[in-house]
Amino acid sequence: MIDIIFYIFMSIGLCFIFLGCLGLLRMPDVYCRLQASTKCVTLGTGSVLLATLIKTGFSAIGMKALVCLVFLFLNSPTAAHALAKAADISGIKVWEKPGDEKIYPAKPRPTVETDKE
Amino acid sequence: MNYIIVFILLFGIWKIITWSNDTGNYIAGILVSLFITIIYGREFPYHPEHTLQPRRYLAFIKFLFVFLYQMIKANFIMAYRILSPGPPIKPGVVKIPLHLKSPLGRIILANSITLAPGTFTMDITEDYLYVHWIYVVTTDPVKAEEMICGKSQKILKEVFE
Repeated sequence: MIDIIFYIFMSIGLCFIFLGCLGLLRMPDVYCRLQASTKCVTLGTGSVLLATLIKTGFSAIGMKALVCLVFLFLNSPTAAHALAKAADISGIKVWEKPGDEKIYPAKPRPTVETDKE
Repeated sequence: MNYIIVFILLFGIWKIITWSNDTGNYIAGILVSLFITIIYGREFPYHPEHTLQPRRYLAFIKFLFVFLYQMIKANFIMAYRILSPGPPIKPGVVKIPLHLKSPLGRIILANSITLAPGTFTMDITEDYLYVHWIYVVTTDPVKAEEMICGKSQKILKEVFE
């Protein structure tokens, strides 16, 4: 029984990690790519860690997996946020589908003054 | 008070990570936790009196359920967007008002928006969040707030303020 649940969670996790990688290839710009990869890979990795916890029970390995799960949910969005902010500061515009009305950012973003000599 | 909370937190994490019952393990854990507590204990919980109020924990558990539901939904929507031909997206940046003041609450709200359906926190200022939305429905800040994070922001306000 435990084996079956373990395999189910593991396959869900691997499917979502695969989808995240596919999204990385299919999306048009850096922000959409970050969205796809962050969401899918976070759930996928979380699912794999949960499967490890179920398989090994409350042993040393299982508890480490649980702690990893908590820190993954805290860290993964933060890292993605840092990447998005870096991309924004270096001046990458949001992609628009050709033909759509333009949706501007709500404020002109502050740009970082770089020293140019 | 501050020192006690930080010590219990650190020692709990130590016990969970090592997960053994040696005497040496307990001694090492207590020594390391005490050392870190002496350095950082003064700064960490901004409102130590809040940790003794059970209703905050109940609200936080409620938030966890809302968050899990949103995250699983977000993943299926994202899977649909990735797999359909010519991704059905219309990305843009909207700004939404932010009512939380506590730093920990703001971090948790920003992270939960990143994992919620179709939205992604890009920047955070004093009163506003700048959110990248993969399919923009409205650009009005108040409506967008209601659609993106209305529920979770209310619950987090209960938890942290």
